[in-house]
Amino acid sequence: MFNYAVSGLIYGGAYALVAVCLVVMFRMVRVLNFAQTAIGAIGAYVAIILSEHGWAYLPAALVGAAAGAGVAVICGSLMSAWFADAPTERRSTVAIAIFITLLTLGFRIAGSTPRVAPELFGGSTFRIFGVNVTWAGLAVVLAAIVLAFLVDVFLRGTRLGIRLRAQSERPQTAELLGVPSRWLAVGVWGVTGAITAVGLLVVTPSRGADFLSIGLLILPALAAASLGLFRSTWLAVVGGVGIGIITGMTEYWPEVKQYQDIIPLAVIVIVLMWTQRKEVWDAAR
Amino acid sequence: MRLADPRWIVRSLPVAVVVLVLLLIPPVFLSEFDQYNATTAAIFAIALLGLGVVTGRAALICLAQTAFMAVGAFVILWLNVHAPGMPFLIKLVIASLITVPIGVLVSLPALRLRGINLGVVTLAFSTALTVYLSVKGFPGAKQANFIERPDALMSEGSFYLFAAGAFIVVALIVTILGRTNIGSSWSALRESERATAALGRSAPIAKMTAFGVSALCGGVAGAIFAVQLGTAEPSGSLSPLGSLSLFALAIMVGSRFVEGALIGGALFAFMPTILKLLGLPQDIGDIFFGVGAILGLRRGFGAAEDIRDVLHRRRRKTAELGVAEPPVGYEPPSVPAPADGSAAALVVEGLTFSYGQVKALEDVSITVPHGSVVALIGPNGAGKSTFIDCVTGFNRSYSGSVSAAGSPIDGYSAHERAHHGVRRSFQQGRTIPDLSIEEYLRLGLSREQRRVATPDFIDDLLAFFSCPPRDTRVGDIDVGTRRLLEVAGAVAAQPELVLLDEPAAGLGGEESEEIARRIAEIPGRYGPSVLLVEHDMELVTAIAQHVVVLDFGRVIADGTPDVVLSDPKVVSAYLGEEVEV
Repeated sequence: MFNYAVSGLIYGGAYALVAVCLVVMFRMVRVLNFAQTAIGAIGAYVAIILSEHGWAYLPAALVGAAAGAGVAVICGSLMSAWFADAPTERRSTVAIAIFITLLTLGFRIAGSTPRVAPELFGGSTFRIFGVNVTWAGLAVVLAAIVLAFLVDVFLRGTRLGIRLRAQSERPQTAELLGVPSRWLAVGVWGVTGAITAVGLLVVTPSRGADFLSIGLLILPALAAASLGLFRSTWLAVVGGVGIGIITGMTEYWPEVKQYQDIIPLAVIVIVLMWTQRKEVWDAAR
Repeated sequence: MRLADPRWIVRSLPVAVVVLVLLLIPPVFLSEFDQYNATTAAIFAIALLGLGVVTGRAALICLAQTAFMAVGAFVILWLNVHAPGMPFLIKLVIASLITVPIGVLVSLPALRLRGINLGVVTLAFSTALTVYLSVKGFPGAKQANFIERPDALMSEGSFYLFAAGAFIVVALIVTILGRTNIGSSWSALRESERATAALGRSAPIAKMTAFGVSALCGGVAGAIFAVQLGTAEPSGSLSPLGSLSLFALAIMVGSRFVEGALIGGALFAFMPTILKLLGLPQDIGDIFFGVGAILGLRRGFGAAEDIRDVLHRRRRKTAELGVAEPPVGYEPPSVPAPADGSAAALVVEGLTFSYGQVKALEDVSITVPHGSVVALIGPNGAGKSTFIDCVTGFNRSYSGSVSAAGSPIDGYSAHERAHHGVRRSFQQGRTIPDLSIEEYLRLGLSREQRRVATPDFIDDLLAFFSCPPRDTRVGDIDVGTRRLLEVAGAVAAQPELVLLDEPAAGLGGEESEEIARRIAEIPGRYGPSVLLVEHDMELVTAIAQHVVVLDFGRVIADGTPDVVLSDPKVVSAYLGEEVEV
């Protein structure tokens, strides 16, 4: 069973990475970005197609990341041009509409046949406690942890991070204080778009996935991010890795395995219901 | 406006005729293939009507509409396998009705979750159901035990007419329900849950009914969809992605209106045909819905609102708002004296309330005698609004006791207190822009009160508060008048007591005087005593018989206005001056 748990690590790392991006988006640009994985999937697919054309892993991944960033910047510009002052709820609804649009667009271009992605480190593994672990799995978990750490330090300790937090809480006030809100926000979109693209690229080989199923990884990522109510990068990492490991463990029981995709959903419902149990009234006073 | 109101029927007639004519086009003019598509349009229009209730009217984000459809489809297919002899219509009705409690179940998280969190949870429900159905399959699907249409509905034309008929029935149910207080409470929910409760309506029940009706629509649509296809599959239209695109479509067209739902259904069903005509790939329809939704969100409303707005503006131009006419020779029913001559409207004793470590109110005792206006004043942060929240049941974890008209009300929730004679207004102004003035006033009345509140009474009330005629939309009147209307709404139920939280906040001098004059007359004319929270000292001295001053959560003075306002402690509290006490 330990074997199965470890095999879930690579998914868990990817969920955690995307979940950290969701937290960053929620905290810095006030949007629960349903479109995160759809944006990332486009970048990952660009990388896959390039490697099919004989590109080496690193340049393909870099161009893929740039493509993810590009798509994200377009979405972010749209959001700040039209919905700068809209409440989080409406901005997130816009993200749902962007998700639908990008997913349909990507599905049309990429088709429904699963693609084989290049494997990071050639799929090589190492043994620990008698269990095979892929270097890629370890790398993506470490990447999630490092990202969570960097984001935490950045938001708390740097001038730019504090500016970003300020602009998220009160975009107009921040603008009055001379914070270039709009460009900062679009920048955050771009960076998270690039990171998500790389994260999804790493996880794709083991998923053997088509565009739609990569795009739908938004659900476990949302579940992971919900653990910290979309505000804590650390809990997002814990949530992502945890969901990955639990999902991996279900492989051990074939009859449970077929329902494994329900696990993250149960996490979402339980976490949100528990944390919000005292919220009897809405915010409108 | 009541259901039987001839004006409403006359006004709705053109829309009804246009809808009927449109619905009759397919069987006469279209090919069999397009009749099939037209059936799909009617089915998804029914599903969109449901989204129009829960998301369009009550503003609750629901990403589970196709899951409700899947439930309807599941039940009718199950009945087909296990009770093949059951008449078709009965199967359909059972499938639709079973979806309702599922909808109510899904609404339970909505009692605590709001906004986008609710969207995430409903999407999770939708996905979980799809995972389950992918494993188990719909009943009969694996054995190719398909559901057969009854003989009369074998042709595409007749099945279309059946689906269109179902659309009309569901549209009538949703429209009629939407005009009752249940429907008005959905609109109230959209504005504020506290305002809903202050009108005496339970916010949880409003949410549950909205989800229940939405699920009913989904169930009907899903069951007919299964019959159209003969079976159902968890992927495609019934998947969570289907829920998301239906959600986008509902925003794009404004599906809270019947014509919006109809446009949406037609777009959904005929999009592949339209795309084919344009020489585009047929599977990119969702891109249009996504982009359409973004445009709709940018403007704040969908296509149906556009159409209504144009008609509405034209109508409004011809009739300026004006003020309600007082009914000739009408006097409001005389105010009954309290049974026990001494019972005060409100007695609060030893009220203490804390926000965590901070004591917001400490041992506050206030009495509002029957038929009086009492003012509660104090500097910012003194605890005035907290006091109102405690008395009206919005903060319930206080110690001390609150009695209205001699009986304790501590055990009641906010909306129950509203029915036990304690009404309030809000500092920010919380009328419901979506409703007509009459719908707004009636929303706050219990069944017995509605019998007493005759049209003459309502006209008299509106004229007294200088509000426009009762069929005016609340959203069309200015902010100052809305504040008057909110006071009128609190008075309309003829409660024991109305608590007015800064009714003149943000109003100009003249408007303030106007509102003050009206408030002073409330007890004598309509019965309720008044507890007024106000910063405007002129207003307070002009109308209050008694003034209570709060500072840092404690009562520091209590008496007639001139005595209290010259009290050095009060002056100190307001001006921050050091005085010997």
